[in-house]
Amino acid sequence: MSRYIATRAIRGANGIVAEAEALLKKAMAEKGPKAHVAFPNTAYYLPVIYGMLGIQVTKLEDLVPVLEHAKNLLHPVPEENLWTPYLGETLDCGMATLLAAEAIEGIRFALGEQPEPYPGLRLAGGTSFTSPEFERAAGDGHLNGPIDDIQLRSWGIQLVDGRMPGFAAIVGAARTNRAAVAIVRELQRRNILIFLSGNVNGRSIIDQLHEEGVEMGYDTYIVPFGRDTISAIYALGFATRSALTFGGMKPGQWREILLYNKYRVFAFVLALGEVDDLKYAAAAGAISYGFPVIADTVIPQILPTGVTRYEHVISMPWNEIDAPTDEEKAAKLVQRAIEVRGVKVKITEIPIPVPYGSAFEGEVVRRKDMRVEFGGKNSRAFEYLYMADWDEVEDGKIEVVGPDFSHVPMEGSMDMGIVVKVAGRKMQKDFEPVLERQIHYFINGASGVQHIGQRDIAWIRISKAAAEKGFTLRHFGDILHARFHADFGAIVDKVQVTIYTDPKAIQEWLERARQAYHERNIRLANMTDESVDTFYTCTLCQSFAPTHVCIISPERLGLCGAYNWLDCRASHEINPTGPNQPILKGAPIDPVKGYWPGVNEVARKLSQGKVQEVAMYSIMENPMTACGCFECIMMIIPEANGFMVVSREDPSMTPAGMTFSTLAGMAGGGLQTPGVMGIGKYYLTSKKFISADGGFKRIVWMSSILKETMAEELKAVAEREGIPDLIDRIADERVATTVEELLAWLEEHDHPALTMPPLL
Amino acid sequence: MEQIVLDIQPISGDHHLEKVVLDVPAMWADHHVLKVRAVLTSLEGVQDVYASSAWKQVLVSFDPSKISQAAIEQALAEAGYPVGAGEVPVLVQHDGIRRDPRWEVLGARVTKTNQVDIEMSGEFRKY
Repeated sequence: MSRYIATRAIRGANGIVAEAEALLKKAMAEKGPKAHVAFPNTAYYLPVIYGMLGIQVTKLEDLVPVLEHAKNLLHPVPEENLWTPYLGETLDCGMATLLAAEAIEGIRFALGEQPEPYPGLRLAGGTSFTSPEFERAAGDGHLNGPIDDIQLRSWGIQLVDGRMPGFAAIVGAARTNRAAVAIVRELQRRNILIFLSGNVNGRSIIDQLHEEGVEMGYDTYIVPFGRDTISAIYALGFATRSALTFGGMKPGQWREILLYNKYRVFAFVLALGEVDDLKYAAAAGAISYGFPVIADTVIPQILPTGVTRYEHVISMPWNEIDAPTDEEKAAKLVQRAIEVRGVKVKITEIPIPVPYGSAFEGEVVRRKDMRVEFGGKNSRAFEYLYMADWDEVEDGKIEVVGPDFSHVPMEGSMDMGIVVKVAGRKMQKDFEPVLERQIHYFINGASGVQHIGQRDIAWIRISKAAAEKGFTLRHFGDILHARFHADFGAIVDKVQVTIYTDPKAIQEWLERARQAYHERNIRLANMTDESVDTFYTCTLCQSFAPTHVCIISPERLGLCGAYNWLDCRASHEINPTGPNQPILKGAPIDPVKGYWPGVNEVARKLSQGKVQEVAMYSIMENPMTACGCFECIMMIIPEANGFMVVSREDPSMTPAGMTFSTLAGMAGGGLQTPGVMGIGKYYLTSKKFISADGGFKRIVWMSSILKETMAEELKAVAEREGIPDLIDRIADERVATTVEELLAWLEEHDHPALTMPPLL
Repeated sequence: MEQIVLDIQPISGDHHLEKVVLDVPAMWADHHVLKVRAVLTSLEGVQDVYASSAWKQVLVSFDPSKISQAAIEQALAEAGYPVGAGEVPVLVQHDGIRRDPRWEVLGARVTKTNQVDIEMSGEFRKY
């Protein structure tokens, strides 16, 4: 351990705890000790404090014992002439730093100083849907502040299935704007989530990216926390909540939470520019989580000499990186960082003129930035993938039939169809829709290209910036060819892509595609749990939630909504030893509740004995566990003799007296809690939806966003249940947020659950 | 390593400007840098500022006909960053007896050498 690092980290920790104490004293004098303290949209209070100490901070005075604890962790600065073992002292001080930094941010929220104002910034994806109180007048922007629980959960599936291999917390500012962009693009290319904070001489990498027009926000995986090092605590809060949300850890289990992060959360810190006392102290805190620090300046290093698991502090001075351009230097810096932390990254080289990676999936191309669009209001676009005979497919052949978009006026639109023909020894007709759905993700990965919808309601935009760099229609084919081979090579051997813009050809292929969509619908609709002898496991999330196992049947998709039975079957073909294993269900033990010997055996084995039995069609008895990625949470409302369904996007209060975020703590982490269950939203439309408990008619309350976004599907369910206006009889947050209001609404609207057999 | 002095050239090439490096020990983290820069850049006559929390120094380029060094130092002092004074607040001091405050919490420790270790060491070494 470097005495230099220890000295500065310990000094920084002492300083920041003293500052936190002074700030708390001042705030309590100004606002009173009972003043409200909270990060917005999280059920985990101030998450690092909650996770490490189990203290629920809701008022300023709650921070007093927190800072007392932090003070207890402090140590004196090492003396000049005395050698001493100071790794332990430094790590203690690192943790004290994190507690103090989070206390400061909590106080800043109480004082109205967070999230930090940043005039002119618009966050891609925004925070308005969860934090409307922080959306000020147009143009009067703000930085992101802490990540909310909803975003954490929606990233969960990407974090576990490898699409998002880890996160990089960048602190400070890069050597130049160009270097800043190069580093961020390199991380994006590797799909690594990026958190930004800190500054050097008042200049933050946030400023650099903003000046260069790089879009920041949840949608682009670049989250600007704040312009000082203190706000880097939000990254550690994210890591702590990962353990609480997905790992089933309890608040106060600091050791387990730190170990969980060390082994499961692949994160590292990039310190750009000079490193001051607080940055050393915060880095010491990050090291306790197992997150190494890579600096682009000359600093003492902590290398593996038998003590540490990783190289913990690496100095890689920017001007000494052996590469001619900033882009190549960035590539080497990032490469070193991921090697040090052991992040597993799979990159597919895509031969297109714009950056490519799933970090660009959420990128929005606004109308004013758009060169051309296909589909949407003014034109139509479709995509269709089908299996063909071996000899019919010419691998790598990409054709554009019809004119390209050069003749289309700026911001104009045109019709287009993407037809993908695949062949493979293991390819099956049933995989067609599974692969076709990937077109959305694959095309969206290109920077400056936006893809929304699927089938014949696809809507694609190409930005002016991408078009200027030379992106053309042909590149859709390049992307699809490369990605299908890379991701589905086990079932696809040949891929041929044709892009149609010729009106006559579009018409012909559209009709053919629509016929295929129709046939697929019928085939899928006829597929029932009884018609197959095999279900599938999904243990993807075990990297995060070690005791959770999803059981996926034709009539019950995974709770994340991302994996259905067909996906699992395809996944098993692609990776026979992967997370989706077949379950021979055997003769049913109880076909009503959904007990099968095969399912129980697998659940027992894969949950390490934590779950003994799973009822596939009941929420009241041995319900399926959840990792934390669920799209919706169901919970019993005993007074109403039914269940409510709250959507991940809904931040409002529910009649259960809890918001989605709070409920999620009860439903996630591989727990089996009768009466509470995480589900994928399309499970609502299944005939097998809690069929043992009365089915869809038991739903008494549902988030309005579900009613709106699934209007057609839910209408069909209501008709199937024999009550065509059933959806109108179900309450939502606009009419009832308490049990009393809910009961009044149900009685007024004659809801069927009131006359059904009692649940309890 | 602590004695490095800023030698960064100001961006402005105006030879009428004066350049001064000030020690500001209370500026030890980058949130202080934001405050120090806000104070200095708002002063009339200050042309360029380089504030380093790592070296706790500020390099100020200013027009002496508009502002004096004393006025700059006074503005810094009023903002809580006096030149040459203050330090990183250190809450835990060496008391000469107990180096580690956790020892008090953890209580008395007893150190006893395992007999096996004794047997395996020195003239009894077996391995």
